[in-house]
Formats: sequence, structure tokens, C-alpha cells
Amino acid sequence: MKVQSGINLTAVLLALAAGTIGGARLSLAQDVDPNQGTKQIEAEVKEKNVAKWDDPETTRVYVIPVRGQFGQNVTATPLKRALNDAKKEQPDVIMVVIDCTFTINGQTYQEWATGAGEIVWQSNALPTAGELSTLFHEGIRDDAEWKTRKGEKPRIVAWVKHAMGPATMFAMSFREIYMAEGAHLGGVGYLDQMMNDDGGSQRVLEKWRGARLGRFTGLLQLGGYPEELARAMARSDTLMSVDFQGGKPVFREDLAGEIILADGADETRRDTLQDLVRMKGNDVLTMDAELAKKLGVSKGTVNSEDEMVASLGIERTYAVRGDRAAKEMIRWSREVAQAEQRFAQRWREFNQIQVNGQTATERNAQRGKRLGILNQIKRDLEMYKESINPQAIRGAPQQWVSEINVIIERLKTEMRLDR
Amino acid sequence: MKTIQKMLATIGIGAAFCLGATFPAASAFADVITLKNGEVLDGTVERDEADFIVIKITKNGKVETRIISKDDIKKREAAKPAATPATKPTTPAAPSTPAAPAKPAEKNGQEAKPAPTGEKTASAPSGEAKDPKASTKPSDRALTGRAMRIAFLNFGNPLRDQGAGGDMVGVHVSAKAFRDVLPILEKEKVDIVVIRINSGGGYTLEMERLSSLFQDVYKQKFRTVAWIESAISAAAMSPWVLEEFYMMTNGNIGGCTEFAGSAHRPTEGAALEVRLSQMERFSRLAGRDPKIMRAMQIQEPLSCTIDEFGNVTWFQDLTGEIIVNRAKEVLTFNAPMAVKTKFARGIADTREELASAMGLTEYEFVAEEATKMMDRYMLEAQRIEESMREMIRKYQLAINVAAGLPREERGPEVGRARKHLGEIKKMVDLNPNFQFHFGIEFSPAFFAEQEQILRDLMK
Repeated sequence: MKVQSGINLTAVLLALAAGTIGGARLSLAQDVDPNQGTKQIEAEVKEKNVAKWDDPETTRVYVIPVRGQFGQNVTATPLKRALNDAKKEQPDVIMVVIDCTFTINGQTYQEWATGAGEIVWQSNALPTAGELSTLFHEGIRDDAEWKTRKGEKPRIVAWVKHAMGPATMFAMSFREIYMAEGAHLGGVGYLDQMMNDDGGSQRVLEKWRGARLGRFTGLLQLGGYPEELARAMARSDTLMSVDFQGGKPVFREDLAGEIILADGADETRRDTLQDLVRMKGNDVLTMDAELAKKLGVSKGTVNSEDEMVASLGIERTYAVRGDRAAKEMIRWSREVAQAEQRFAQRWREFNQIQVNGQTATERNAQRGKRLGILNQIKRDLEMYKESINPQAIRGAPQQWVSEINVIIERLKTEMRLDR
Repeated sequence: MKTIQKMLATIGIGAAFCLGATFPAASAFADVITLKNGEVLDGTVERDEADFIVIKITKNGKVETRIISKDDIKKREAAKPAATPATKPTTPAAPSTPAAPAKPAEKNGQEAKPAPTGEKTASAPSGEAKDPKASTKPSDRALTGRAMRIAFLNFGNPLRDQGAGGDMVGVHVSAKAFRDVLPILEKEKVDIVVIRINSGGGYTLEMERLSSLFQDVYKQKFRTVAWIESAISAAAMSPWVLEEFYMMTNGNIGGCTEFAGSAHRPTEGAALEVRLSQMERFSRLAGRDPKIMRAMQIQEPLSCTIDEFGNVTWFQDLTGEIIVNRAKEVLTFNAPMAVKTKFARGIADTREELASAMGLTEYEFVAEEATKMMDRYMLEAQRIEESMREMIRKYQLAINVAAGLPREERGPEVGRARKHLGEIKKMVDLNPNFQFHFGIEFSPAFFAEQEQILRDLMK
């Protein structure tokens, strides 16, 4: 890729994303719509041959849609509910359909904005991906109730439709991945530039970077993918290319291989905006469906359920269920969005109640109403804390709960003393 | 120290390696593997990864599973086609796992079936079976055929707990808790303690306490091993004195650079040298090359060469055959590299796999009470961390309210303040580091002063 003189592309991308470059609003960021997640996952799972679900000759496929914003729409509670339903159905195959936006801390980027990868590393994406991956790995492995009708563990496959950024970390923990045409795995680059602008000790920064890369590599290891891929995807100070021997990739830390995976360490080959917008950037590795297949990450490119089923080698009749799982995911997203909206609304209601009654009884009644509202806010925060966007409520849920507890204590004290 | 190579040679891993139904049975194939040390393994390769293979062999009539680093392989040939179909993948959750290993006892206190008299366990060095009552030492028990009693203590809550409970060394993970749990381990006659680690680090002060406890107490009483999900910074340094490390597939360990609060305050100069020297000593206690930890603490390159006998020689530069850490980076190991370089003795994702990797065929998991006690401690520590500041504000509120009332009306509010102060003291007592962790010095003098304030309010 040709040199782009003097431009720090990462900075440009992030500035674009934040809308801080003036003139025409070429913003990569999209204003967060609390219902965005809900809109994206209105599409239901298309159940099929349900009447044949109990037929012993039927292969049971249970679809779990992982859609919307990873870490907000996609969190432990809805996934657990979806998996609990799946467990009852004893599927032969669990198909995890990953269709997530490239959203970090509530800010959504266009897929080509791979520079946002640096922010991914500073967010909660990695620990979240690690935690959620356990639901599909040891959560199924160690639960004796998870079994097919033959008493085996179900086959778990991931179908990647959109998974840039945080969702890539999750997707790559799956051993069997299929990708849709146009899908990409990546957007987790520029780890080596993480917090560079803050001016701290490089030794400490490298510690943090190495630890993160270690955890990310661990996720890839769960999927059975080599650690070289993690490095190529994460660090732009890398040179990585690949040869193929007997169809298997052999990685090399130079650019002499058949395919260049990452060349960010060569300053003369820095990505241009033109490269990035066309998803051709390779300062860090972003895999499209074709490259992922060559590297052995994807088992195949599939664009429909029929293609997927054929790729899985399912020859007999198959049935698809998962509508309930989809509804669980939708319901959760809707509830979270509503909780976020209620938060501001309830604080307004709280502030509108003045404690100005003529008598202690009247004043304490007013205080009682305030207490009721505070308890409602607390309930929402505690119930949805794993998904509520701290930016939407201007603070972390747990901090708000502590704050509210102190206000409650104050109100109760006033009630005691106002007789 | 026994080299990892020797350990691998003496270990017969009893349980089948769990692959789950995602692993197609058709990919198992028969091979003859010749190792660099001359050993020949004729069996079925069940898993062929980038850096290691898993092969099932039959030895002395028992089926064993071995994990072999590819660096130890001299030659690999296809065996003659087997007449029988490929074996199906096994599932550790299903009781009907095939062949050799004795099933672990499912409940505490149940004795697993002892091995018949005279039969040697795969992990025992050659020797005759001794009278089971003659000795209670763990090493002797291995010879007697009695089941090894294994306890698991979580060092940081596992990832599967989805963030419930904390993992910070010195806050949620403390030497006090590991000390408090000892009587249970002793009462349960535990032979092996597995420290299961998932932690991003924390206070160096606590790391020192934990290291001392592990070295001076745990290692003297039990075979103590570390089982790594993620061990970063102080969480890697704390168990560094242990000789045995096992990794989970997604395991990672390293990133031990010390700093005080932010990247702008790294430990430097004399303090850094002291820390480096301390960890060199811990490395020697574990029989480990100190260059490894050094590359985890500062930006030092690290490489190694493994000779034909499997001996590893480490270099604090990039001249070795295997590059482990690049010059400007700080080392965090992943599982395949850890096993390849013999830093770790094996990879295990389940308790049963771990027991097999440790060379055990007769074992039982015990001391669940100890496991739960550690988990409760971490949960309680997290609750305290989340609510301490709130409690302090409630205390201050009660004092301010009391001070604003006429003396004769202060009683209830002073009582309330005293109750909150008592709660704060109880919280602090859980963990000695809570005396300073919240930015307030919760010393005995502090509490005495507060009590005096409360008494004065009533005068």
C-alpha cells in the first residue's frame, strides 16, 4: 500500500468518527439511537420444519442470533436465556448468527474505520468477549443437561455476517466459523498505539498491550486458531505474511510470503484512506470471507440457510428453531433501551416533587414519593447494569446505585426528624 | 528440577482429552510418533494443533492420552490402517467415558476405589506398593494406590462467573483468605491444592504475602500447582514460587511491569532493581530460569533453544531458535508457547484433564467447603468495594445530622452513626489492605478517634 505523506490515519479516522473535523459532516460515528439495537434485530429467526423436530431422522438446528451492539444488546443475561431455551430443545447443531454493529462505548463506526480498533482495546470488549465465550464453551461442556438426543454435545457453529471490532473477539473463539459474503473479521488493530498519546511509560503501556494481546490470543486459541493471527490483527508494528504448504498456512514475519497479512511496520506501506474505504487496508489484518477461508479461519462462505446447511454436511431432513431465542434477545434490548429512557424521565419526576407540605405528614408523604421513584430507578439499574450504556445515563450503573442509596438515607433521616 | 521432558516421560495421562461434539470423529487417525528422546508412540492422534498434538496410546493394557509438543517429535509416520472405526469424541460430563482412568469420587469423603495390590499407578516411579497406613505424605500416597485428594481454590473469579466477584490481588484475592482456608484443607487431608487463577493483578504488597504463604506453608504441606486461565501482573508473580504451572487452552500469563497508579509512574531505579532481584529469587525457588520473569517485568527480549533431549536453554536476547518475546515488548505467555517451551507442564480445561496432566489416575476432588469459602470471600470483598464509599457517606451524614440537633435529641442519630462505623470496621477487618485502599487511613487510631467524636457528641 502506498505511502500517504505525513498523515496519521488513525488520528484522522478517530477525528472523523467523533465528528471533530469541520466542514461537511463526514462523520463515521452515528448518533446512538437507543432503539438502534431493537431495530436491527427485528428480523426473526425463520423456523422451518418444526413439525418434524421430534422425528428421529431430523437434524435439529437451533439458531441463536447475536445482533446489535456487542456488550449492550449482546450480554450474558439474554444469551443465557436463549441458551436455556436451546438446551430444552436438545439441538444437534447450535448456529450462532453474529450480526453486530461496529460499536464501541456507544459510538458506532463504519466497518472500514479500522483505526477505531485502538479504542476497542481500551473498552470492555475483551473481557466481555471472554466471559460470553464461556457460555458456549464450558457452559455447554460442563453442563450434563446439555446433550443431543444421542447423548452427545451439540455441534456449535458461528455464522458471521457482521463482526467488526468487539464482536470479532467473540467470534474467533468459535472453532467452526462460516462467513457471509461481505463479512469481515477485524477492527481490533492498533493495539501498539493504545494510549500512546497520553505520554506514559512505554514499559507500562507494553505491559497492558501484551496482557490484552495475551487474552485475545487465548480467545483465538479456544477457536483453534494460531497466535500469529492475533498478532497480525492487533499490532500495526507487525510484518506478517503467509505461505501455504499442503494447504496449511505457514506464517512468516516478513513480507515475502504469498499473501501479505499485515505490513504496518513498514512506514512506506501505510494504508491510505482509499485503501481503507475499500476494505483493502492491511496495516493490520482484516479478513474478508475469502481470506478467512484460505487461512483456515472460515470453513466456508455461505449466504443463506440452505447453503449453511449444505456446508455443515447435513444431508437428511433438518428443522430450524430459535424464534424464542430471538425474542429473548429482542426483549432484552428493548427493556434496556426503555430503562435508559426511564432513567432520565424518572429523575425529572423526582426533581418535580417538592417537599413543601404544610405539615410533617404532608412533607413525609412527598418524601415517600421521592423514595418510591428512587427505588424504581435503582431496580432498573440493578437489573440492566450489564447492558446499560454509561454514556446514556452519564455514569456507571453501580456508581448511581451508591449515590441513590445515600440520597435514600438522607430522605429517611429527614422523615425521622420531621415530626 | 525434573525437566519437563522427564515429567512427560513418567506421566501417563489417564483421561481422554475432551474435545466435545464439535470435533469431528473422522479427523482421528492412527500414527506412529517417534520422539527426540527415542520413545515411540503408536496410537491415535485425536487432535493436531499448531504447536502440539494429542495422541491416545495403549500402554501396559491401559489407554493413556499424551499431549506432545511438536518440538519433541523427531518423526511421524502413518500407522497401518486400523480395522476398527475411529473412536467418537468423549465427553467428560458423560459418566461413560471410555477406558482406563478411574472415575473421580463425586462427593467429598468418598474413597475412590483403590488400585489392586501391587499395581503401579502411571504416575508412580518404579517401586513396590507400600502399606497404605505407613505414611500420610502425598508422595508416599502415590505409591500406595490411595486416591489423591485434590482441592481447588479460585484466585480471582473464573470468567464463567460473568464478572461476579472480583479478581484484584490485595482486594478480592488476599493472603489472609488463603491462610484462613488452611485448616479446612488440613482437616480434609488434601494432597494437592490447585490454585486456579483468573486475575488482572493488583497490589505488589499482597503479592509478597501470597508468595511467602505459598512458599513457606502451602508448598510444605501440599503439592501446590497453578492452573492458569489468566494471570497478569501480580497474579502471575504471586504463584511464581510454585514449580508446576498448567494452562487452560485460552490461558495467558505475564505482564508483570510494576507501576503506581498510572503509566506515568512506573517503578524505576533502585526500587525496580529490588523487584527484579526479588523475582529472580522466586524463580530460583521454583527451579525456573529467571530470564522468563525478567522479560515479563521489563522490555527484555527472550528466546530459547530446545535440544534433542528436550532440555530448554533460555537467552535474554533473540539468538535462540524460538522467539518468545520481542525486544520492545513485555512478555505474556499463551498456552501453546508455554507448553512448547516447557514453562507449563500441560494444557487442561477441566478438572479431570488437569488431574490427568498431573499424572494422576486415582483421585478425588475434595474440600468443596474451602473452595466455597474462597469464593465467598471474593464476593464479599467485591460487595465491600462497591459499597464502602456509600457507607462512609452515610456515616458522615449521621454525624452531621447529630451535630445539628440539640444534645438531648442526638441519641438515635449517634446510634446510627455508631452502627455505620461498626459496619465500616467490619468491612476493613475482612482485608488488611482495606485500611488504605479507599483513600482513607482506616487505622485503629482512626476508629478510636471516631469513637471519641461520637462520645463527645453525647456529652
